[in-house]
Amino acid sequence: MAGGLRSISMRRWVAPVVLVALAALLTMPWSFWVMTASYEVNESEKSEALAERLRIQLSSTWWWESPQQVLNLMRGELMGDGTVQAVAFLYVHPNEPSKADAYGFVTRNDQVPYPRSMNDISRLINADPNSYRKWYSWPVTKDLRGVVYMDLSRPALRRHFRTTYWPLLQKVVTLTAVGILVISAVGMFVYNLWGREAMQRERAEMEQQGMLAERGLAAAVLAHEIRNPLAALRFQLHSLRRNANDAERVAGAADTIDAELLRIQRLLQEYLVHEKAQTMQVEPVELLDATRRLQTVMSELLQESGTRMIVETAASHVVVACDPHGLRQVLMNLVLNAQQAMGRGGTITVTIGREEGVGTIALADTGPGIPAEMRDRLFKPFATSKKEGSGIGLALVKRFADNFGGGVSVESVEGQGATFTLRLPLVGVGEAITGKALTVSQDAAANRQETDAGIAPR
Amino acid sequence: MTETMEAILLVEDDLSLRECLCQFLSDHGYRTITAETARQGWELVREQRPVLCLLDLNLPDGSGLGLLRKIVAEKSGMRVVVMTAFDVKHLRPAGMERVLAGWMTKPVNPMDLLAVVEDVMGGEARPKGSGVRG
Repeated sequence: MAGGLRSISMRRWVAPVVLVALAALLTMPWSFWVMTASYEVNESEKSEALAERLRIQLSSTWWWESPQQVLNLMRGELMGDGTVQAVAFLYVHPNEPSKADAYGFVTRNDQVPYPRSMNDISRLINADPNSYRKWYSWPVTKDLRGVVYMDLSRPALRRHFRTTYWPLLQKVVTLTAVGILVISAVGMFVYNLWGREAMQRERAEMEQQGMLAERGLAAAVLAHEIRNPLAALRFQLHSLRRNANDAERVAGAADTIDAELLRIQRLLQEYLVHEKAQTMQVEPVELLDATRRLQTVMSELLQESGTRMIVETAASHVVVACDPHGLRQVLMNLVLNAQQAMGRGGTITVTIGREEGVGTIALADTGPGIPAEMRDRLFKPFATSKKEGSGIGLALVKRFADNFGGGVSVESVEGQGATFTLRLPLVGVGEAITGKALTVSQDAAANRQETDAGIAPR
Repeated sequence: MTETMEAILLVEDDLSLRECLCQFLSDHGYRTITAETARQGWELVREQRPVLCLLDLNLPDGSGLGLLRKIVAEKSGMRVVVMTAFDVKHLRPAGMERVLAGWMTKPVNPMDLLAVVEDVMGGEARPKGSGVRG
Protein backbone atom coordinates (compact mmCIF):
# COMPACT_ATOMS: atom_id res chain seq x y z
CA MET A 1 0.00 0.00 0.00
CA ALA A 2 2.71 2.46 1.03
CA GLY A 3 4.73 1.45 -1.99
CA GLY A 4 1.76 2.14 -4.21
CA LEU A 5 1.25 5.60 -2.78
CA ARG A 6 4.89 6.44 -3.14
CA SER A 7 4.94 5.36 -6.74
CA ILE A 8 1.88 7.48 -7.48
CA SER A 9 3.41 10.63 -5.98
CA MET A 10 6.63 9.86 -7.85
CA ARG A 11 4.68 9.76 -11.06
CA ARG A 12 3.08 13.12 -10.22
CA TRP A 13 6.53 14.66 -9.99
CA VAL A 14 8.03 13.04 -13.00
CA ALA A 15 5.25 13.45 -15.52
CA PRO A 16 5.23 17.29 -15.77
CA VAL A 17 9.02 17.45 -15.92
CA VAL A 18 9.13 14.89 -18.69
CA LEU A 19 6.33 16.71 -20.49
CA VAL A 20 8.09 20.09 -20.38
CA ALA A 21 11.34 18.53 -21.56
CA LEU A 22 9.48 16.79 -24.37
CA ALA A 23 7.73 20.03 -25.31
CA ALA A 24 11.03 21.89 -25.41
CA LEU A 25 12.61 19.16 -27.52
CA LEU A 26 9.72 19.18 -29.94
CA THR A 27 9.63 22.96 -30.19
CA MET A 28 13.35 23.65 -30.57
CA PRO A 29 13.82 22.26 -34.08
CA TRP A 30 10.82 24.28 -35.12
CA SER A 31 12.52 27.41 -33.86
CA PHE A 32 15.65 26.48 -35.74
CA TRP A 33 13.59 25.94 -38.82
CA VAL A 34 12.28 29.47 -38.47
CA MET A 35 15.78 30.79 -37.90
CA THR A 36 17.45 28.94 -40.70
CA ALA A 37 16.76 29.87 -44.25
CA SER A 38 18.44 28.08 -47.09
CA TYR A 39 20.07 30.22 -49.66
CA GLU A 40 19.96 29.71 -53.37
CA VAL A 41 21.60 31.28 -56.39
CA ASN A 42 20.06 31.54 -59.80
CA GLU A 43 22.49 30.00 -62.29
CA SER A 44 21.46 32.26 -65.16
CA GLU A 45 22.20 35.47 -63.32
CA LYS A 46 25.82 36.11 -64.11
CA SER A 47 25.54 39.64 -65.29
CA GLU A 48 27.60 42.52 -64.08
CA ALA A 49 24.59 44.07 -62.40
CA LEU A 50 24.21 40.99 -60.28
CA ALA A 51 24.30 42.90 -57.04
CA GLU A 52 21.03 44.61 -57.92
CA ARG A 53 19.04 41.53 -58.76
CA LEU A 54 20.72 38.80 -56.85
CA ARG A 55 18.21 36.78 -54.95
CA ILE A 56 20.10 35.56 -52.00
CA GLN A 57 18.63 33.82 -49.10
CA LEU A 58 21.29 33.70 -46.54
CA SER A 59 21.09 31.79 -43.38
CA SER A 60 20.42 34.11 -40.50
CA THR A 61 22.74 32.07 -38.42
CA TRP A 62 25.49 32.74 -40.87
CA TRP A 63 24.74 36.31 -41.55
CA TRP A 64 23.74 39.01 -39.29
CA GLU A 65 21.25 40.50 -41.69
CA SER A 66 18.17 39.30 -43.49
CA PRO A 67 18.47 38.64 -47.21
CA GLN A 68 16.65 41.85 -48.02
CA GLN A 69 19.00 43.77 -45.83
CA VAL A 70 21.96 42.10 -47.50
CA LEU A 71 20.62 43.27 -50.83
CA ASN A 72 20.18 46.70 -49.37
CA LEU A 73 23.68 46.55 -48.02
CA MET A 74 24.94 45.64 -51.49
CA ARG A 75 23.08 48.58 -52.89
CA GLY A 76 24.84 50.75 -50.41
CA GLU A 77 21.64 52.07 -49.01
CA LEU A 78 22.21 51.13 -45.45
CA MET A 79 25.90 51.68 -45.18
CA GLY A 80 25.81 53.57 -41.96
CA ASP A 81 28.84 55.80 -41.83
CA GLY A 82 29.93 54.52 -45.26
CA THR A 83 32.71 52.26 -44.11
CA VAL A 84 32.90 48.51 -43.85
CA GLN A 85 35.03 46.37 -41.68
CA ALA A 86 34.14 43.02 -43.17
CA VAL A 87 33.66 41.64 -46.65
CA ALA A 88 32.04 38.45 -47.74
CA PHE A 89 32.16 36.84 -51.16
CA LEU A 90 29.51 34.61 -52.50
CA TYR A 91 30.60 31.79 -54.78
CA VAL A 92 29.01 29.09 -56.74
CA HIS A 93 30.41 25.76 -55.79
CA PRO A 94 32.57 24.62 -58.75
CA ASN A 95 31.31 21.04 -58.68
CA GLU A 96 27.77 21.68 -57.62
CA PRO A 97 26.45 24.79 -59.39
CA SER A 98 23.16 24.68 -57.52
CA LYS A 99 24.95 25.29 -54.27
CA ALA A 100 26.75 28.37 -53.26
CA ASP A 101 29.22 29.15 -50.53
CA ALA A 102 29.96 32.37 -48.90
CA TYR A 103 33.35 33.19 -47.54
CA GLY A 104 34.39 36.25 -45.81
CA PHE A 105 37.20 37.92 -44.01
CA VAL A 106 37.62 40.88 -41.80
CA THR A 107 39.78 43.65 -43.10
CA ARG A 108 41.92 44.04 -40.01
CA ASN A 109 40.33 47.40 -39.24
CA ASP A 110 41.58 48.81 -42.57
CA GLN A 111 38.98 50.88 -44.25
CA VAL A 112 37.84 49.23 -47.44
CA PRO A 113 36.43 51.40 -50.20
CA TYR A 114 32.92 50.54 -51.17
CA PRO A 115 33.05 48.60 -54.45
CA ARG A 116 30.69 49.74 -57.16
CA SER A 117 31.53 47.20 -59.86
CA MET A 118 33.20 43.88 -60.53
CA ASN A 119 36.39 45.77 -61.27
CA ASP A 120 36.31 47.26 -57.81
CA ILE A 121 35.87 43.78 -56.43
CA SER A 122 38.77 42.38 -58.46
CA ARG A 123 40.89 45.21 -57.26
CA LEU A 124 39.88 44.57 -53.72
CA ILE A 125 40.81 40.95 -53.95
CA ASN A 126 44.00 41.58 -55.83
CA ALA A 127 45.01 44.11 -53.23
CA ASP A 128 45.32 41.36 -50.72
CA PRO A 129 45.40 38.14 -52.72
CA ASN A 130 47.52 36.23 -50.26
CA SER A 131 45.24 36.58 -47.38
CA TYR A 132 42.43 35.31 -49.50
CA ARG A 133 44.22 32.52 -51.37
CA LYS A 134 45.65 31.28 -48.15
CA TRP A 135 42.15 30.30 -47.15
CA TYR A 136 40.54 29.16 -50.35
CA SER A 137 41.92 26.96 -53.04
CA TRP A 138 39.98 27.66 -56.18
CA PRO A 139 40.27 30.67 -58.51
CA VAL A 140 38.79 33.72 -56.97
CA THR A 141 37.15 35.52 -59.82
CA LYS A 142 35.70 32.54 -61.60
CA ASP A 143 32.08 31.97 -60.70
CA LEU A 144 31.94 34.97 -58.45
CA ARG A 145 28.29 35.86 -57.92
CA GLY A 146 28.30 38.70 -55.57
CA VAL A 147 29.84 40.52 -52.72
CA VAL A 148 28.35 41.01 -49.37
CA TYR A 149 29.66 43.70 -47.16
CA MET A 150 29.15 43.51 -43.52
CA ASP A 151 28.84 46.75 -41.70
CA LEU A 152 30.11 46.22 -38.19
CA SER A 153 29.90 49.84 -37.19
CA ARG A 154 28.07 50.56 -33.96
CA PRO A 155 24.90 52.10 -35.49
CA ALA A 156 24.71 49.19 -37.93
CA LEU A 157 25.00 46.67 -35.12
CA ARG A 158 22.37 48.50 -33.14
CA ARG A 159 20.11 48.57 -36.16
CA HIS A 160 20.82 44.90 -36.79
CA PHE A 161 19.87 44.03 -33.24
CA ARG A 162 16.69 46.06 -33.46
CA THR A 163 15.54 44.81 -36.85
CA THR A 164 16.78 41.22 -37.00
CA TYR A 165 18.07 39.72 -33.85
CA TRP A 166 15.48 41.04 -31.40
CA PRO A 167 12.40 40.02 -33.43
CA LEU A 168 14.01 36.69 -34.07
CA LEU A 169 14.72 36.21 -30.38
CA GLN A 170 11.14 37.20 -29.58
CA LYS A 171 9.87 34.76 -32.14
CA VAL A 172 11.98 31.91 -30.83
CA VAL A 173 11.08 32.55 -27.20
CA THR A 174 7.38 32.93 -28.01
CA LEU A 175 7.28 29.83 -30.15
CA THR A 176 9.11 27.77 -27.54
CA ALA A 177 6.89 29.04 -24.74
CA VAL A 178 3.69 28.43 -26.72
CA GLY A 179 4.96 25.01 -27.71
CA ILE A 180 5.74 24.09 -24.10
CA LEU A 181 2.36 25.36 -22.93
CA VAL A 182 0.36 23.58 -25.62
CA ILE A 183 2.18 20.27 -25.35
CA SER A 184 2.17 20.39 -21.55
CA ALA A 185 -1.53 21.19 -21.49
CA VAL A 186 -2.36 18.36 -23.87
CA GLY A 187 -0.01 16.06 -21.98
CA MET A 188 -1.47 16.92 -18.59
CA PHE A 189 -4.98 16.46 -19.92
CA VAL A 190 -4.15 13.01 -21.26
CA TYR A 191 -2.23 12.18 -18.10
CA ASN A 192 -5.19 13.27 -15.99
CA LEU A 193 -7.60 11.10 -17.96
CA TRP A 194 -5.21 8.20 -17.71
CA GLY A 195 -4.67 8.80 -14.01
CA ARG A 196 -8.38 8.96 -13.30
CA GLU A 197 -8.89 5.72 -15.17
CA ALA A 198 -6.09 4.08 -13.22
CA MET A 199 -7.62 5.34 -9.97
CA GLN A 200 -11.02 3.95 -10.85
CA ARG A 201 -9.43 0.66 -11.80
CA GLU A 202 -7.58 0.59 -8.50
CA ARG A 203 -10.77 1.32 -6.56
CA ALA A 204 -12.68 -1.41 -8.39
CA GLU A 205 -9.86 -3.83 -7.64
CA MET A 206 -9.92 -2.88 -3.98
CA GLU A 207 -13.67 -3.36 -3.80
CA GLN A 208 -13.33 -6.76 -5.34
CA GLN A 209 -10.56 -7.60 -2.93
CA GLY A 210 -12.81 -6.51 -0.08
CA MET A 211 -15.48 -8.88 -1.32
CA LEU A 212 -12.97 -11.66 -1.67
CA ALA A 213 -11.64 -10.88 1.77
CA GLU A 214 -15.14 -11.16 3.19
CA ARG A 215 -15.56 -14.46 1.44
CA GLY A 216 -12.12 -15.53 2.62
CA LEU A 217 -13.14 -14.50 6.13
CA ALA A 218 -16.24 -16.67 5.98
CA ALA A 219 -14.09 -19.55 4.78
CA ALA A 220 -11.58 -18.92 7.57
CA VAL A 221 -14.38 -18.90 10.16
CA LEU A 222 -15.66 -22.15 8.72
CA ALA A 223 -12.20 -23.68 8.79
CA HIS A 224 -11.79 -22.57 12.39
CA GLU A 225 -15.22 -23.67 13.60
CA ILE A 226 -14.96 -27.05 11.95
CA ARG A 227 -11.82 -27.97 13.87
CA ASN A 228 -13.54 -28.41 17.23
CA PRO A 229 -15.99 -31.08 16.02
CA LEU A 230 -13.18 -32.66 14.04
CA ALA A 231 -11.07 -32.88 17.18
CA ALA A 232 -14.00 -34.34 19.12
CA LEU A 233 -14.50 -36.90 16.36
CA ARG A 234 -10.89 -37.93 16.59
CA PHE A 235 -11.09 -38.49 20.31
CA GLN A 236 -14.32 -40.47 19.94
CA LEU A 237 -12.76 -42.68 17.27
CA HIS A 238 -9.83 -43.24 19.57
CA SER A 239 -12.26 -44.22 22.32
CA LEU A 240 -14.10 -46.58 19.94
CA ARG A 241 -10.90 -48.40 19.12
CA ARG A 242 -9.93 -48.71 22.77
CA ASN A 243 -13.36 -49.78 24.01
CA ALA A 244 -14.60 -51.87 21.10
CA ASN A 245 -15.91 -54.55 23.45
CA ASP A 246 -17.82 -52.19 25.73
CA ALA A 247 -21.25 -51.94 24.07
CA GLU A 248 -22.34 -48.99 26.19
CA ARG A 249 -19.20 -46.99 25.40
CA VAL A 250 -19.48 -47.81 21.70
CA ALA A 251 -23.08 -46.61 21.61
CA GLY A 252 -22.12 -43.42 23.46
CA ALA A 253 -19.23 -42.74 21.11
CA ALA A 254 -21.44 -43.41 18.09
CA ASP A 255 -23.99 -40.89 19.40
CA THR A 256 -21.32 -38.29 19.87
CA ILE A 257 -19.88 -38.95 16.43
CA ASP A 258 -23.35 -38.56 14.94
CA ALA A 259 -23.88 -35.27 16.73
CA GLU A 260 -20.49 -33.96 15.71
CA LEU A 261 -21.05 -34.90 12.08
CA LEU A 262 -24.38 -33.06 12.21
CA ARG A 263 -22.57 -30.06 13.63
CA ILE A 264 -20.09 -30.08 10.78
CA GLN A 265 -22.90 -30.39 8.26
CA ARG A 266 -24.69 -27.46 9.86
CA LEU A 267 -21.53 -25.36 9.73
CA LEU A 268 -21.09 -26.17 6.05
CA GLN A 269 -24.72 -25.37 5.33
CA GLU A 270 -24.42 -22.04 7.09
CA TYR A 271 -21.34 -21.27 5.12
CA LEU A 272 -22.97 -22.14 1.81
CA VAL A 273 -26.06 -20.12 2.65
CA HIS A 274 -23.87 -17.23 3.65
CA GLU A 275 -22.03 -17.42 0.35
CA LYS A 276 -25.23 -17.76 -1.63
CA ALA A 277 -26.88 -14.86 0.16
CA GLN A 278 -24.25 -12.55 -1.24
CA THR A 279 -25.31 -13.13 -4.81
CA MET A 280 -28.82 -14.60 -4.97
CA GLN A 281 -32.16 -12.99 -4.30
CA VAL A 282 -35.69 -14.27 -4.16
CA GLU A 283 -38.17 -12.69 -6.51
CA PRO A 284 -41.47 -13.80 -7.96
CA VAL A 285 -40.82 -15.32 -11.39
CA GLU A 286 -43.57 -16.18 -13.85
CA LEU A 287 -42.47 -19.41 -15.51
CA LEU A 288 -43.98 -18.81 -18.96
CA ASP A 289 -42.33 -15.41 -19.02
CA ALA A 290 -39.04 -16.98 -17.99
CA THR A 291 -39.42 -19.60 -20.73
CA ARG A 292 -40.08 -16.95 -23.37
CA ARG A 293 -36.97 -15.10 -22.28
CA LEU A 294 -35.03 -18.34 -22.43
CA GLN A 295 -36.27 -18.92 -25.98
CA THR A 296 -35.08 -15.48 -27.01
CA VAL A 297 -31.67 -16.01 -25.47
CA MET A 298 -31.22 -19.46 -26.95
CA SER A 299 -32.93 -18.89 -30.32
CA GLU A 300 -29.68 -18.56 -32.23
CA LEU A 301 -28.23 -21.78 -30.85
CA LEU A 302 -31.48 -23.65 -31.39
CA GLN A 303 -31.71 -22.44 -34.99
CA GLU A 304 -28.13 -23.34 -35.69
CA SER A 305 -28.51 -26.86 -34.36
CA GLY A 306 -31.91 -27.33 -35.99
CA THR A 307 -33.56 -27.94 -32.64
CA ARG A 308 -37.27 -27.27 -32.25
CA MET A 309 -38.55 -25.90 -28.97
CA ILE A 310 -42.21 -26.33 -28.09
CA VAL A 311 -43.72 -24.62 -25.07
CA GLU A 312 -46.80 -26.18 -23.48
CA THR A 313 -48.70 -24.81 -20.50
CA ALA A 314 -50.55 -27.26 -18.30
CA ALA A 315 -51.32 -24.39 -15.96
CA SER A 316 -51.38 -20.66 -16.54
CA HIS A 317 -49.71 -17.92 -14.55
CA VAL A 318 -47.38 -20.09 -12.50
CA VAL A 319 -45.34 -17.76 -10.32
CA VAL A 320 -42.49 -19.25 -8.31
CA ALA A 321 -40.05 -17.73 -5.85
CA CYS A 322 -36.42 -17.87 -6.88
CA ASP A 323 -33.55 -15.87 -8.30
CA PRO A 324 -34.51 -15.00 -11.91
CA HIS A 325 -30.93 -14.87 -13.18
CA GLY A 326 -30.11 -18.14 -11.51
CA LEU A 327 -33.22 -19.70 -13.00
CA ARG A 328 -32.24 -18.56 -16.47
CA GLN A 329 -28.77 -20.05 -16.01
CA VAL A 330 -30.28 -23.31 -14.83
CA LEU A 331 -32.75 -23.51 -17.73
CA MET A 332 -29.99 -22.67 -20.21
CA ASN A 333 -27.98 -25.47 -18.67
CA LEU A 334 -30.81 -27.95 -19.16
CA VAL A 335 -31.47 -26.84 -22.75
CA LEU A 336 -27.77 -27.13 -23.58
CA ASN A 337 -27.67 -30.58 -22.05
CA ALA A 338 -30.69 -31.69 -24.10
CA GLN A 339 -29.29 -30.20 -27.28
CA GLN A 340 -25.92 -31.88 -26.75
CA ALA A 341 -27.63 -35.20 -26.10
CA MET A 342 -29.73 -34.95 -29.28
CA GLY A 343 -27.05 -33.61 -31.61
CA ARG A 344 -28.50 -31.99 -34.76
CA GLY A 345 -32.27 -31.78 -35.00
CA GLY A 346 -34.62 -33.05 -32.34
CA THR A 347 -37.31 -31.40 -30.27
CA ILE A 348 -37.30 -29.95 -26.78
CA THR A 349 -40.73 -29.72 -25.19
CA VAL A 350 -41.00 -27.32 -22.28
CA THR A 351 -44.04 -27.95 -20.12
CA ILE A 352 -45.09 -25.55 -17.41
CA GLY A 353 -47.36 -26.94 -14.72
CA ARG A 354 -48.41 -26.72 -11.12
CA GLU A 355 -48.33 -29.31 -8.35
CA GLU A 356 -48.98 -29.10 -4.63
CA GLY A 357 -47.30 -25.89 -3.60
CA VAL A 358 -44.76 -25.98 -6.40
CA GLY A 359 -44.53 -24.77 -9.92
CA THR A 360 -42.96 -27.20 -12.35
CA ILE A 361 -41.07 -26.68 -15.53
CA ALA A 362 -40.20 -29.83 -17.44
CA LEU A 363 -37.82 -30.09 -20.36
CA ALA A 364 -38.30 -33.21 -22.47
CA ASP A 365 -35.88 -34.05 -25.25
CA THR A 366 -35.93 -36.63 -28.02
CA GLY A 367 -32.35 -37.76 -27.44
CA PRO A 368 -30.99 -41.22 -26.65
CA GLY A 369 -32.11 -41.05 -23.02
CA ILE A 370 -30.10 -41.73 -19.88
CA PRO A 371 -29.10 -45.26 -18.81
CA ALA A 372 -30.69 -46.34 -15.52
CA GLU A 373 -27.34 -46.72 -13.74
CA MET A 374 -26.44 -43.15 -14.62
CA ARG A 375 -29.70 -41.66 -13.39
CA ASP A 376 -28.95 -42.09 -9.70
CA ARG A 377 -25.70 -40.21 -9.70
CA LEU A 378 -26.65 -37.75 -12.40
CA PHE A 379 -26.94 -34.79 -10.04
CA LYS A 380 -23.74 -35.51 -8.20
CA PRO A 381 -20.78 -33.42 -9.24
CA PHE A 382 -18.48 -34.84 -11.88
CA ALA A 383 -20.87 -37.54 -13.05
CA THR A 384 -21.18 -37.25 -16.82
CA SER A 385 -21.62 -39.40 -19.87
CA LYS A 386 -20.44 -36.58 -22.09
CA LYS A 387 -16.89 -36.54 -23.35
CA GLU A 388 -16.45 -32.82 -22.75
CA GLY A 389 -17.70 -30.87 -19.78
CA SER A 390 -16.92 -31.24 -16.10
CA GLY A 391 -20.29 -32.77 -15.25
CA ILE A 392 -20.90 -30.07 -12.69
CA GLY A 393 -23.80 -28.45 -14.58
CA LEU A 394 -26.57 -30.75 -13.33
CA ALA A 395 -25.11 -30.61 -9.84
CA LEU A 396 -25.51 -26.85 -9.99
CA VAL A 397 -29.10 -27.24 -11.21
CA LYS A 398 -29.81 -29.39 -8.17
CA ARG A 399 -28.05 -27.00 -5.84
CA PHE A 400 -30.10 -24.12 -7.24
CA ALA A 401 -33.39 -26.00 -6.80
CA ASP A 402 -32.46 -27.18 -3.30
CA ASN A 403 -31.42 -23.71 -2.35
CA PHE A 404 -34.89 -22.34 -3.05
CA GLY A 405 -36.68 -25.21 -1.40
CA GLY A 406 -37.43 -27.01 -4.63
CA GLY A 407 -36.02 -30.01 -6.40
CA VAL A 408 -35.06 -31.52 -9.70
CA SER A 409 -35.78 -34.98 -11.04
CA VAL A 410 -35.21 -36.92 -14.22
CA GLU A 411 -37.29 -39.51 -16.05
CA SER A 412 -35.98 -41.38 -19.02
CA VAL A 413 -36.76 -44.36 -21.19
CA GLU A 414 -33.63 -45.46 -23.00
CA GLY A 415 -33.86 -44.59 -26.66
CA GLN A 416 -36.83 -42.29 -26.15
CA GLY A 417 -35.28 -39.23 -24.60
CA ALA A 418 -35.18 -37.79 -21.13
CA THR A 419 -37.33 -35.37 -19.15
CA PHE A 420 -35.85 -33.09 -16.51
CA THR A 421 -38.39 -31.57 -14.15
CA LEU A 422 -37.52 -28.56 -12.05
CA ARG A 423 -39.77 -27.85 -9.07
CA LEU A 424 -39.80 -24.48 -7.34
CA PRO A 425 -42.09 -23.26 -4.56
CA LEU A 426 -45.02 -21.15 -5.67
CA VAL A 427 -45.21 -17.59 -4.45
CA GLY A 428 -47.59 -17.28 -1.53
CA VAL A 429 -46.92 -20.79 -0.28
CA GLY A 430 -45.37 -20.84 3.16
CA GLU A 431 -44.32 -17.25 3.21
CA ALA A 432 -45.71 -14.30 1.34
CA ILE A 433 -43.07 -12.91 -0.91
CA THR A 434 -43.48 -9.34 -1.93
CA GLY A 435 -41.83 -7.70 -4.88
CA LYS A 436 -39.05 -6.74 -2.53
CA ALA A 437 -36.00 -8.94 -2.69
CA LEU A 438 -35.56 -11.29 0.22
CA THR A 439 -32.20 -12.78 0.90
CA VAL A 440 -32.06 -16.53 0.85
CA SER A 441 -30.19 -16.73 4.12
CA GLN A 442 -33.23 -15.59 6.11
CA ASP A 443 -35.45 -18.19 4.49
CA ALA A 444 -32.98 -20.99 4.58
CA ALA A 445 -31.94 -20.25 8.14
CA ALA A 446 -35.57 -20.43 9.26
CA ASN A 447 -36.06 -23.74 7.46
CA ARG A 448 -32.93 -25.17 8.90
CA GLN A 449 -33.82 -24.27 12.45
CA GLU A 450 -37.11 -26.11 12.07
CA THR A 451 -35.45 -29.25 10.80
CA ASP A 452 -32.66 -29.15 13.34
CA ALA A 453 -35.04 -28.77 16.24
CA GLY A 454 -35.89 -32.46 16.12
CA ILE A 455 -32.31 -33.65 16.23
CA ALA A 456 -30.86 -32.11 19.34
CA PRO A 457 -27.17 -32.99 19.58
CA ARG A 458 -26.81 -35.42 22.47
CA MET B 1 -8.58 -42.04 41.20
CA THR B 2 -8.23 -40.21 44.45
CA GLU B 3 -8.47 -36.52 45.25
CA THR B 4 -4.80 -36.43 46.11
CA MET B 5 -3.91 -37.28 42.53
CA GLU B 6 -2.40 -34.48 40.56
CA ALA B 7 -4.87 -33.00 38.13
CA ILE B 8 -4.85 -31.81 34.59
CA LEU B 9 -6.65 -28.53 33.98
CA LEU B 10 -8.61 -28.38 30.75
CA VAL B 11 -9.59 -24.91 29.56
CA GLU B 12 -11.88 -25.30 26.55
CA ASP B 13 -15.11 -23.48 25.71
CA ASP B 14 -16.44 -26.06 23.27
CA LEU B 15 -18.71 -28.32 25.33
CA SER B 16 -18.53 -31.50 23.30
CA LEU B 17 -14.79 -31.31 22.74
CA ARG B 18 -14.35 -30.65 26.48
CA GLU B 19 -16.37 -33.74 27.31
CA CYS B 20 -14.51 -35.85 24.76
CA LEU B 21 -11.16 -34.73 26.12
CA CYS B 22 -12.27 -35.31 29.69
CA GLN B 23 -13.35 -38.82 28.90
CA PHE B 24 -10.17 -39.45 26.92
CA LEU B 25 -7.97 -38.32 29.80
CA SER B 26 -9.89 -40.24 32.41
CA ASP B 27 -9.75 -43.31 30.15
CA HIS B 28 -6.00 -43.01 30.39
CA GLY B 29 -6.11 -42.61 34.12
CA TYR B 30 -5.81 -38.89 34.61
CA ARG B 31 -7.94 -36.71 36.81
CA THR B 32 -9.25 -33.66 34.96
CA ILE B 33 -10.67 -30.40 36.14
CA THR B 34 -12.35 -28.23 33.52
CA ALA B 35 -12.88 -24.56 32.90
CA GLU B 36 -14.88 -22.83 30.18
CA THR B 37 -13.27 -19.45 30.31
CA ALA B 38 -9.85 -17.98 30.95
CA ARG B 39 -11.11 -16.45 34.22
CA GLN B 40 -12.38 -19.79 35.51
CA GLY B 41 -9.12 -21.36 34.35
CA TRP B 42 -7.06 -18.85 36.31
CA GLU B 43 -9.17 -19.44 39.46
CA LEU B 44 -8.59 -23.18 39.18
CA VAL B 45 -4.88 -22.64 38.64
CA ARG B 46 -4.72 -20.65 41.87
CA GLU B 47 -6.93 -23.01 43.88
CA GLN B 48 -6.06 -26.49 42.72
CA ARG B 49 -2.48 -26.15 41.50
CA PRO B 50 -2.76 -28.52 38.56
CA VAL B 51 0.44 -29.95 37.10
CA LEU B 52 -0.59 -29.53 33.49
CA CYS B 53 -2.99 -27.25 31.67
CA LEU B 54 -4.52 -28.03 28.29
CA LEU B 55 -5.36 -24.61 26.98
CA ASP B 56 -7.55 -23.47 24.11
CA LEU B 57 -6.63 -20.06 22.77
CA ASN B 58 -10.01 -18.94 21.47
CA LEU B 59 -11.99 -18.39 24.66
CA PRO B 60 -15.18 -16.38 25.22
CA ASP B 61 -13.55 -13.93 27.65
CA GLY B 62 -10.44 -13.30 25.64
CA SER B 63 -7.44 -15.07 24.34
CA GLY B 64 -5.95 -18.00 26.19
CA LEU B 65 -2.61 -16.31 25.57
CA GLY B 66 -3.36 -14.01 28.52
CA LEU B 67 -3.80 -16.95 30.82
CA LEU B 68 -0.65 -18.51 29.39
CA ARG B 69 1.32 -15.35 30.21
CA LYS B 70 -0.03 -15.31 33.76
CA ILE B 71 0.99 -18.92 34.25
CA VAL B 72 4.45 -18.16 32.85
CA ALA B 73 4.79 -15.14 35.15
CA GLU B 74 3.83 -17.26 38.17
CA LYS B 75 6.82 -19.57 37.68
CA SER B 76 5.12 -22.38 39.57
CA GLY B 77 6.58 -25.14 37.45
CA MET B 78 3.21 -25.86 35.90
CA ARG B 79 3.28 -26.92 32.26
CA VAL B 80 0.91 -25.90 29.49
CA VAL B 81 -0.17 -27.54 26.25
CA VAL B 82 -1.82 -25.11 23.88
CA MET B 83 -4.51 -26.48 21.57
CA THR B 84 -5.60 -24.01 18.95
CA ALA B 85 -7.72 -24.04 15.85
CA PHE B 86 -5.65 -21.22 14.40
CA ASP B 87 -2.94 -22.78 12.36
CA VAL B 88 -0.62 -19.85 12.94
CA LYS B 89 2.85 -20.38 14.26
CA HIS B 90 3.60 -16.70 14.75
CA LEU B 91 1.13 -16.56 17.65
CA ARG B 92 3.48 -18.82 19.53
CA PRO B 93 5.23 -16.64 22.10
CA ALA B 94 8.97 -16.90 22.42
CA GLY B 95 10.83 -17.63 25.65
CA MET B 96 8.16 -19.89 27.13
CA GLU B 97 9.84 -23.20 26.44
CA ARG B 98 10.06 -24.01 30.15
CA VAL B 99 6.29 -23.74 30.52
CA LEU B 100 5.08 -24.69 27.09
CA ALA B 101 5.02 -28.47 26.80
CA GLY B 102 3.32 -28.51 23.42
CA TRP B 103 1.63 -26.41 20.77
CA MET B 104 -1.01 -28.39 18.90
CA THR B 105 -3.31 -27.50 16.08
CA LYS B 106 -6.86 -28.83 16.18
CA PRO B 107 -7.98 -31.44 15.30
CA VAL B 108 -5.41 -32.78 17.73
CA ASN B 109 -4.16 -36.30 17.24
CA PRO B 110 -5.12 -38.15 20.48
CA MET B 111 -1.89 -40.17 20.49
CA ASP B 112 0.23 -37.01 20.18
CA LEU B 113 -1.64 -35.42 23.04
CA LEU B 114 -1.29 -38.56 25.13
CA ALA B 115 2.44 -38.62 24.48
CA VAL B 116 2.84 -35.06 25.74
CA VAL B 117 0.59 -35.66 28.74
CA GLU B 118 2.49 -38.79 29.70
CA ASP B 119 5.76 -36.96 29.26
CA VAL B 120 4.69 -34.18 31.63
CA MET B 121 2.78 -36.29 34.15
CA GLY B 122 5.42 -38.96 34.37
CA GLY B 123 3.74 -41.50 32.11
CA GLU B 124 3.67 -45.02 33.50
CA ALA B 125 4.60 -43.82 36.99
CA ARG B 126 1.12 -42.36 37.36
CA PRO B 127 -1.52 -44.58 38.84
CA LYS B 128 -3.93 -45.62 36.12
CA GLY B 129 -7.47 -46.94 36.31
CA SER B 130 -6.78 -50.46 35.08
CA GLY B 131 -10.48 -51.26 34.75
CA VAL B 132 -10.98 -48.48 32.27
CA ARG B 133 -8.25 -49.81 30.02
CA GLY B 134 -10.24 -53.03 29.51
